[in-house]
Amino acid sequence: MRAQTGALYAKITAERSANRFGVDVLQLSDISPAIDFQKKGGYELHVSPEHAAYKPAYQSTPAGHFTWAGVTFAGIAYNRSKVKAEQAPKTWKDILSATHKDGISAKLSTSGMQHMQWYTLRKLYGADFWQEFAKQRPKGFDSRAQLFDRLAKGDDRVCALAEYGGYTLFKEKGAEIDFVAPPDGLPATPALIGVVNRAPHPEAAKLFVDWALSNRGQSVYQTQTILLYGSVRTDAPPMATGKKLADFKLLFPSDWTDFQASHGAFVKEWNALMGL
Amino acid sequence: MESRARARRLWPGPRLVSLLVGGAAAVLVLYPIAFLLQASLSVGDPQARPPEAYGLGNFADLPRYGHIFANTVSVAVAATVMAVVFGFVMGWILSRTNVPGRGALEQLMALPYYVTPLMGALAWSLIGSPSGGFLNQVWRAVGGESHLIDVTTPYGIAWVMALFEGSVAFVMIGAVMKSMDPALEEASQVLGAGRLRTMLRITLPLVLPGVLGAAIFVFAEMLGSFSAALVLGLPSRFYVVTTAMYQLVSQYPPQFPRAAAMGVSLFGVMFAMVYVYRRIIRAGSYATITGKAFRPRVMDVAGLRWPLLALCGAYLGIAVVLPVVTLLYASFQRLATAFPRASNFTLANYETALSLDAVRTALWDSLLLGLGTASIGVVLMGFLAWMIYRSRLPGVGAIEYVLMFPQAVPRLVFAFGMLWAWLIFPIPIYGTLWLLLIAYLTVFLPLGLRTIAGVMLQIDRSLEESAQMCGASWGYRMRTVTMPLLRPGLIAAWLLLFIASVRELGASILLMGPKAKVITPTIVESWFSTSTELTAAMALLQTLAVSVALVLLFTMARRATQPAGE
Repeated sequence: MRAQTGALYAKITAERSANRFGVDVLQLSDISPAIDFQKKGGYELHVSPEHAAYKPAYQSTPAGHFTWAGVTFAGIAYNRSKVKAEQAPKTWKDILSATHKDGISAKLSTSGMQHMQWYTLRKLYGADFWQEFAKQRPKGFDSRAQLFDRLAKGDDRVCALAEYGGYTLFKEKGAEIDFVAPPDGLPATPALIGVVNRAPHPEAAKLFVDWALSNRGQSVYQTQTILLYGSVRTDAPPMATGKKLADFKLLFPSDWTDFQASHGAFVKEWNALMGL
Repeated sequence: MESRARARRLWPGPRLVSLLVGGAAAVLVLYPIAFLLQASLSVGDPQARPPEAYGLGNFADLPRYGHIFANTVSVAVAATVMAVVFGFVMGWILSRTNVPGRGALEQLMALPYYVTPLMGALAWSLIGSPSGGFLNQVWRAVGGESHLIDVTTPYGIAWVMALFEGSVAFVMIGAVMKSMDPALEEASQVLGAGRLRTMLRITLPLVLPGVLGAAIFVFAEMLGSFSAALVLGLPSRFYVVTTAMYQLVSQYPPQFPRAAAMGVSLFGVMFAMVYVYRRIIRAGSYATITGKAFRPRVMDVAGLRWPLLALCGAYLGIAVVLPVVTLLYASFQRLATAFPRASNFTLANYETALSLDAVRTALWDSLLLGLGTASIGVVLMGFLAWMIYRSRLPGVGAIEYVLMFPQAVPRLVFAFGMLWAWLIFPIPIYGTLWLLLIAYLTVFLPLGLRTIAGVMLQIDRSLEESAQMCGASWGYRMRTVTMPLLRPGLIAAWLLLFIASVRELGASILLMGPKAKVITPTIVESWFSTSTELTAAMALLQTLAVSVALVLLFTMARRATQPAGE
């Protein structure tokens, strides 16, 4: 089953509080619920043989609760037929340009990736950055597919949270869009996978996680177009585009505890910014 | 003789049956509502179950969403007015006049209801988005400036809601009109009233309970409408209660208490609507089916036949043909555009949709559930309608209010009440199709009840009373008098329940499990994670499957009910 993080996590925690255990493996694209789930004893400790290929930074503390199954990262994208080359954004601060007002999109506060962008760019440019962005009257959506669908059709001119996976998916379809990797870096967020405690099929769950973290599994994560994630394995092959994660300057929080603590402030500011 | 008398003594009387059925239906509704109320009063950790602390903080916080409530009411009123006007005019033309091709037109008119609201919204997004909309692309190609239409405005959203979620009004009003004695209209015309005057002064007042029932139902449906507001509202930063709630429960940590408080606050609106409805139907008699025999006849509208046919054609063109053709056109493209290159055309979307095992299984489960919900629902809701409007048993008014609860709160939120309620239920039905069946029977109680009640109110009590005077037992009266007269309403209810079940989204998203998947959430998931084009292909396949299933079911039913030798 796939759902927005909040709804999915709520369903699973409600089931578990009623002593119903129907989930084998859980993959979340937001670290806050993953840590909450770990605190609640939700994960089955499983140190996969594949962990040797993952740096400790890409594993839970202690290892075995969850692991980074992949990383998604975002730059800026724009529609070439709607934005002239000289007006195309090149840096993050360019998304504040008045030329993009009422034509720019991002994700809603349901997104872990959006939280990451809010946090990392706030660290780089200060709290006023997003208040300036609010003046653009950005439009918010739930998924990368929606963002790029609108961008490709010209309904939005610029996407301020353009995940690389979305860009490759729509580029392959022939969309007239370009991806910009601002020199200050690209906010990135992990997809966290782990075996669930009291899973109905515990051995199959462990085998699945082993496969997902293996080179074979990671090549699927890196090449399947719908939900592309880059691999953090030390020996990861390149993505379908020929690029590796290491080819991009990725932005992660230096203090994950502070990042998690900022979630409430993010939701409040982002909801207001999106007109909710 | 003695054994028959003993059997009659053992057979439960109407009071006991009413108590059992009414009580069971009330429990179905109140059990999850109790959990929802509990959540709305939770002021501790929003994720904690059961709540850590209770208070009214979530309700006190609601005024900050005042603009969202105002958006919701304005768009729901606009959509209801449009839907009821369309439903009444089309219902009158196709039920009461001799417009050519009525049978076929009537079938086609229900088509928008076969399509999931998400698909209707996607289709109109493809047609009328300011920049990428096909119509606006054509407009610019012929020299127009900017855009011709914009469906992302509140009126655009109301328009799409009226077309796809309000098409139920046509079915409900049409069923009432079919049960009307034409002698009343004929008498009006004999006395010199014109056709329009007859429609406004005779037809409209007589079908008022049906129209009001449809209006109340449609208004409540619009308050809980989700798909059109999600697809067309977000691009213009226009939030309604359902999309706001969806954001609240989808974010981490999910804000259930606040979403539940928003949902519970809608109960007040629904109570007011039911109160008004009951006051109106008590104020007058709307019986059009009396002891006097009549044959349903249509009015000869002479030269007006062709303009009325053109009106029906125009409605069908806008509500059915244009969206379906647009989706079809988009589903054969890699990236949908009004003027595609040859290389943009592909069959890949259909190949992908048909290759997904989840789609095949989900479609079958959905059809199975639709059949179960419609068949059980018609019996259950038919009985409940009789109980509320005919039985004169004490407390039936309260039961009507209770049964309207599921309509008052958006299904996504109601589904959380059901999730919490049925998770702790000792019989292990959670995660099975049985739970979805129970959920559908619960959330569609208002739909079935309103549809059948509209027709039931037209049947004069004297018919049942005459049978009673002649010594017919309650069961015999139901079987030989009430049920045959209710037939149009029951058929309409069955059809509506079947389609509503197959396209249900809000409750299914949370209650389906790995072994009980249904199709609409699968389609929505496709929209979230893939593309409009693949989603269009999947939804068209769903519509096709539903249509084929309905044709087969009606053919089989017609054969089964045909007298031998005919």
